[in-house]
Amino acid sequence: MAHHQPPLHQPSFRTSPTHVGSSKSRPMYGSRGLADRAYNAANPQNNLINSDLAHRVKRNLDLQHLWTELSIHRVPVLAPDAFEFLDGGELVFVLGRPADRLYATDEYDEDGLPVHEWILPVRTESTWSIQRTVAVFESLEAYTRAPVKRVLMGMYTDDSTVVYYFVHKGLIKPRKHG
Amino acid sequence: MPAPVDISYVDGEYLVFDIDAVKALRNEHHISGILVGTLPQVPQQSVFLGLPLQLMPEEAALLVHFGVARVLDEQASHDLILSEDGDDSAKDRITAAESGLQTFVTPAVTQPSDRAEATLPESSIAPILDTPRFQVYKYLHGKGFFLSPGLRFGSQFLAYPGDPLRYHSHYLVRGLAWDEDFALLDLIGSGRLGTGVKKAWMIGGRVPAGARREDYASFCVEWAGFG
Repeated sequence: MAHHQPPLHQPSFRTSPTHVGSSKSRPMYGSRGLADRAYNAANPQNNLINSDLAHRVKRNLDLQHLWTELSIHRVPVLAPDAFEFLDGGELVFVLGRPADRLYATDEYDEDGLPVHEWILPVRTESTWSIQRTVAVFESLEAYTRAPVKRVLMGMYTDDSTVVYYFVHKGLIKPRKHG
Repeated sequence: MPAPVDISYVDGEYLVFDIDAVKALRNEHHISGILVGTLPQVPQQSVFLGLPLQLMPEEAALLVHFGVARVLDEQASHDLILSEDGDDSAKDRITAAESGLQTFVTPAVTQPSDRAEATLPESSIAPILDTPRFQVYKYLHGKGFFLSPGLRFGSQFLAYPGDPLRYHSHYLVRGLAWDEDFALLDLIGSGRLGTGVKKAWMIGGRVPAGARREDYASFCVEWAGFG
């Protein structure tokens, strides 16, 4: 399958996390909106590697859910065959600290703050598979050099809604409410 | 080695008519099945049902796979008995049984030797063994879960950490092939439904032989609690 990345989606923030977090250098809106939308509609799978998508999810976490220490990471994929499209063989993740812990059973870190979470931005129109989920965990574990027990999928749709779901590795006991 | 449990294969369904077998399946093999028979005294109510016990195809396949049960083709068994040896022995047995009939108990006219000849070969369950449904069933059953049909929550199975009479289920289960695609909208819908009823959406698939350590990959999905 031919790897295709239209010029207008060339990521301009392949540098350090501090740089990509700056709001000044992002050409986010304006005339690109309609082109984005047409492109997204035609290529739902491709948007999982769209860096704009990561920025939108990151901004949603920042402004709506009051997360802090947000940064964007380009993670090399160990099993690229699992993905139909990849942006330079990488997945784009968001890392951040929630306003409060997400599970009542979670430990706080040594500073009494909730632990960081990895978020994988994806579009709701795309499809997924076991193979791909395994590849996400393996790639992230290689990148962080630590076991990863869970990843949040931040699912973005064209009406600007973003929903977040935990994907836990293996069998876990369901969440206790309250 | 106890005698194998007889599973009657009737019109595409797997049924167990022996109450001792039903108890053994539940207590020893973590297979609960569904009681589907109405009670002769109160045939209109459907809250409490009795024998026979209906098994899901995956349950029947697992029992045969592990040598616990055999599947009897009741159609073949019936034909066999009626065509047998021309001496009207089956008819005689029916007449004899009916002459002493006092209740609505089905007269037993078959002999154990008749039954063995109608046993379906183990290959009859082979198509079930290759499905992602069966693989996820076997995986969770092997970890001690009880599984029941999942239709009520739009999944393939519900997984209980113990006997369903004692526990709430933990997972809405969907088995997938390794590279089978599912829509993320399914993840959203099932994940939100599962979280709303204090369960998780569990997906799993058999890992192809090769590089990885574990041979089955499973994941649990829950709503994050925000967004």
